[in-house]
Parts: sequence; C-alpha cells; structure tokens
Amino acid sequence: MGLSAQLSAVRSPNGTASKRPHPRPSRGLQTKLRRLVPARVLPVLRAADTAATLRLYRPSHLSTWYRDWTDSSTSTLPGVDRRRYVAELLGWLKRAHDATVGGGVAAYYSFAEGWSAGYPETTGYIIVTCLEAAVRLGDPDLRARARRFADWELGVQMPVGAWQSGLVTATPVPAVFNTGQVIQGLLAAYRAFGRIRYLEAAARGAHWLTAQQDADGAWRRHTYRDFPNSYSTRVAWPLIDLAEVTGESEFRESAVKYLEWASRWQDESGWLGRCSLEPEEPALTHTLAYAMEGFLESGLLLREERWVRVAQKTAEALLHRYEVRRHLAGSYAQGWRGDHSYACLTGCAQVALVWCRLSQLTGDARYLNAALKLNDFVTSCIDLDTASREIRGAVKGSHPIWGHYMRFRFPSWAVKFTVDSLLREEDALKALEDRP
Amino acid sequence: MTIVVLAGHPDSPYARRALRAINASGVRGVHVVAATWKRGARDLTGLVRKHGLRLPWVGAKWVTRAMVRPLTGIAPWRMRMTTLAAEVAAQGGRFVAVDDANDESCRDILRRWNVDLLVLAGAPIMREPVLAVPRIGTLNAHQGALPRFRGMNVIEWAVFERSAPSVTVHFVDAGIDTGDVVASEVIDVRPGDTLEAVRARAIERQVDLLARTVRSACSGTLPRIRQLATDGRQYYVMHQRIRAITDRRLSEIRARRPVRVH
Repeated sequence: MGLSAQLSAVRSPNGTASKRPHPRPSRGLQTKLRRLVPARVLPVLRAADTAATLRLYRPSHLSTWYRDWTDSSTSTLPGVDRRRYVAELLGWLKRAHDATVGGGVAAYYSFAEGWSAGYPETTGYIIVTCLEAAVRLGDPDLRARARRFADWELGVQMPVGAWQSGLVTATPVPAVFNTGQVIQGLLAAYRAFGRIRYLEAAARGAHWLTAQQDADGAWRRHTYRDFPNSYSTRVAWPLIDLAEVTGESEFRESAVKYLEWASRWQDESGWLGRCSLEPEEPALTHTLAYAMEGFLESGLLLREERWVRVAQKTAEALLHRYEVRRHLAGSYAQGWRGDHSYACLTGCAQVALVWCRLSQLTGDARYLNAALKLNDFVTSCIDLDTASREIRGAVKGSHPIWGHYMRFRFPSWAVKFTVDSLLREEDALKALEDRP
Repeated sequence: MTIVVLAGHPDSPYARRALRAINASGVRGVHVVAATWKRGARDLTGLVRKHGLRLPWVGAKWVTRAMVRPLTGIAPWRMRMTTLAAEVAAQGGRFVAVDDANDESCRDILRRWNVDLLVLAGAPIMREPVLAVPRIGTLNAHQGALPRFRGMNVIEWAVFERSAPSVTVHFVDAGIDTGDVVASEVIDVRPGDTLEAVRARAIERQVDLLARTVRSACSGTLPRIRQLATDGRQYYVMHQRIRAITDRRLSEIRARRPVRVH
C-alpha cells in the first residue's frame, strides 16, 4: 500500500469514522505544482508530502513504518518476560498522562499530531487497570495517578451528569457509552479510596443513563450517529455493578433491559448484529469484544448463565476463526466475513482477555491456548527497544500501522486492554496449573 | 482395487512411511498423488517485503546454492526424482505431482484412475469434490481418540486432559475429523517418555493401523462407526506454555500407569 493511501482516512479516538482535514498546508502547494510538474513526478511528491505529514523523518516513526512494511515484527521472544511488557506498557500509560496539559490520559500518540488531549472515556476505564496493576506490582505511583484520574473525571463531568464524547478539548456533547466507562472507573476509585464523591458522581451519571434509555431497552439518543448499538453491554456492566454498591435497583433493571435488547441481535453462528460503529459498517473486533465483555461480566454479576452463554457463543465463533486462519481480522461483517488486511490490536487484546476469563470460568484450556497466541501476537507488535518515549511500550491501533483502525496512532485504550489481558492471562494460567 | 495415497508434498517422509507399511501388509501397486511445494514471494517488492534488509544476504545464499548444486551433482528439486517417487515406481505404482490437492487436475487424475480408496498422508484439508471421487471413500489416520479429540496436537491435548493418547483411522467427510470411525488404538506411555517420544510412537502406530485398515478394505468391507458432529471438541495447535503444563502432566500419567514391557 502506498503512503498516500495509508493516510487516506483516519479514525477519531473512540474509533468512530471521521475524515480529518490534511493538517499540513502543502495541499495548496501541491495543486500549484500539479500544473507545473509532469504527471510522473506527482506520486513522488505525494509520497514525500505524506512522509512529511507522518513525520517519517523521525527515526522512531520511520522504523515503525518500515517494520510493518517488511512485516518483520519480531515474534515474542521466549526470553522476554510478560512482566517486562506489563511494566513497559504501564510506563507508556504514565507518559500518556504526563503528556496532557489539562489532566487525564491522552487518547493517543499520533505520527502526524503527536500526543492528543485527555480523553474522559478511556481515562475512566484506565483507572481500573491502574488500580489493579498498582496492587499487583506494588506501585504506589499508579495508585496516586488513578486517584488523579478520578478527580479529573469529577472535574469534567457535565452538569447533566453525563460525560462527553471525544477529547476533553472538544465541544462537550453527552455520550452514553463514554459515561458508562467513566462510571466503571469511578466505582473502582470509590472502592479503592472510599471517597463518597466518586460514588455520587457515578450515580449521577447512571441516573442520566437510565433517563436516556428507550422503552425497549435500547439507547438511541446520545450514541454515535444515534445508532442503537449492541456493544453498550459494556455500559450495562458498570450499571449492574453500581446497583450492587448503591442498592438502586433502577440501575440493574435498566441494564437487564438493555441486555435483553442487545442479545436479540445474536444469531445461531454467534454473530452479533448492530455491533458496528455505524449502520452497514462491519463490526471491529474491538466493538465485538466490548459486547462480549459486557455480556460476560454482567452475567457474572447477575449470576445469570444466559448472559455468559451469549458471550461464550460469540467468543467460540471468534476462537474457531482465529485458530483456523491464525489471524484475527480487524473487522467482521455479517456472516463472519473478516477483513484480514489488518489486525485491530485493541480488539485482539480484548478478545484474548475475554478468552482468559472464559478459560477461568469453564476450565476449557482451548480459550487460554488461543489467548496466549493472540497475546504473543499483540506483544510482538510492541517495540521495547526503541529509545522513543512515545513508541516504546505503545500498542498500535492497527497492525500494520496503516490499517483501518486508528491509522498511524497508538491509542491509550489499546495499552490498557493489553495490560488487562496479560494480567488475566497470568491468572488463567495459574488456575489451569492448579486444576486437579 | 485401485488405491491412491495423497501425499502432502513430493518428498513427504510420512507418505513414504505409509506407503512402506501398506506394501509390508501385502498390498502393492499403490499410486501416489503429491501436492507440490508452495512457492514464496514472486516479485522484487514481495521479496523486499519478506526479507527486508536481509535480502542481499538471502540472495547471496541462493546464488551460492545454485552454483554449488551442479558441482555436487544434485539437480534442482524440480528436476530430480524424489525418493517417494522412486519408491512408488519400485512397487509398481504411478506417481503424479499436482499443484493443489483440491484442484481440478487432481480430481481428473483420480477419476481417470478409477480410484476405489484414497488414503491421506499429510495432505491438506480436502474439499468435497475430491472426496466424492473414490468409490469406497477416503481414509485418514488421526492422532487422537475420535470423537473426543478432533483437530491438531491431540496427542498433547489428550495428555493435557489426562486421557489416554490414541490413534484413530476414519473416513474423511467435509468436516474436520468428523467422518465414520474405522479403527482405533491406545498408545502406550512408557517410563522416561517425552511428548516427542509419545508422538513418534503415535506416528508408528497410526501408519501401522492405516496399513492394516487398507488391507482389510482390500479383503472385505470396513466397519463404520458413526460419530456426530456435536460430539467431542476440536483442538488447535498447542501453545508452548500449555505444552509446558502438559509435559508435567505426562510425568504424572507415567507415575500412575502400569508399565507394559515389550
């Protein structure tokens, strides 16, 4: 794929489609040059312009691009401990926090734009990861940062109780999915620090969520492009969790109503309809994994096996496809038609996470077996040797980096889910070894 | 009776072993169809993308090899008669190489030869059009007890699940290891065994069982035990970390199982 084509479209932080205007002024110059220079030279000029836009003159950018172009990403070396990956990933998350001016964790590091502003949605669920990693690794800095993230979330909560979509620098528009993720983070912060303010803010957010829900259980307003999606099971999960803590049954009822609605979109093959960001678009493995995780964790909290089975059905379908092809597509269309031109690394980490959980639950080692391989793949795409602070320990949106999802960017949520997955992998392996 | 062995590639050691075992059981004149090796990157861009900065080094190796081969008297692989082909000719059979075991040319050859029994020896997953050609059917030896252990690395998975490793000969249908079972045998686990040793013994046994089944097919009808697609589980290539756990479990099995002395 040519460099120009590689940059032809980019994705906004939560993966939603957006055409980004070219950030460099050389377009106008190109138009003028087009009249002056022979047609043969134009592709060279375009490639040079794209290379400049992507700042490929930086050795770290160039080497990342080159590694993907030659497909020479090293497979995970047996000698490289998973703990080293976890440490490097968390180190990157800390740098993504330090890079933001107003607080929160940067949404991504981009070849073209550098560090982004803070992103309320993912900062929310990164709190959960930081708190867990702080306990496991005995890192007080992570715990302190988690607290700062939670405080920052309180500061950016909208007067209606919701959290906004997109970056904190964007015009605030309340968003259902984003609110759900922040609630999860605040709940974890409340459990860790015992501050009632976190719980109150989460409850305000949850009240706003229940008010937005339609009678049939779907969320249609304040969703991306007002498209009622089936991956907001990851909103239902924190709602159920919050109901356990606050005792407000309204939250649980709302979540169950949504789960009923979302499960209707699953067919016999495990395919989950409406799991894409937009109608008629294929579902990213990222959003499919959101849906699975939501069903699974909701089922566990509610102690209702039927929701676990919904997650398991989709997880099995993905497992078979992954094992046969030895590659998880970046996205799947109805009938499980996969786009194998790229891998969505966030989705890979999330799917591996779900498989680890299922392995722990069912005792079926095939899930963990596949998760180990998928985590090997994700870690093989992480550069631990570069001196670049922005790229060392970062996880690309796509592999290759010009893939459809988060093109030429390293999203913070990819790092979060990779850490979660590697930690869960360790638990699942231990459970398997201890099994009589 | 026309019997054809479908080999994974023209020099498949497994196909050679299967052929020798079939011959040893008294069945001769077996033909072999072999799928050819897949070629890698074809153009310069593909080569650059595949090898990156190592391309000059890889290229130098190719050139050296091409120069050395004529000196040592070894012709390029396309020209030379493989050991498998020589063995097929020696026992009175015909040897043909095809591009793809599932393509039209392979089907044509099998039809022309009026094949009664097709025996898979390291062949890829076969599609229905080829499977429909042999009169009796297509046989495959599988390293696992069917229907419980389907798919890949099932010797290892059986040990992991603390089950007896086995081999099964079955008819091939459109599914993965879902065809009717013909015969099966349990593999011994002996003191000091590693997974590799158990696997090697499984290959010996499966080749032997396959040869005996082919002989039975020549002398009469084969038993067919139906298995349901919903029975059992499909397993996939085992990750090295699960394999490490399996290694430990193998020593537990050895400790528990009574040893059979041969």
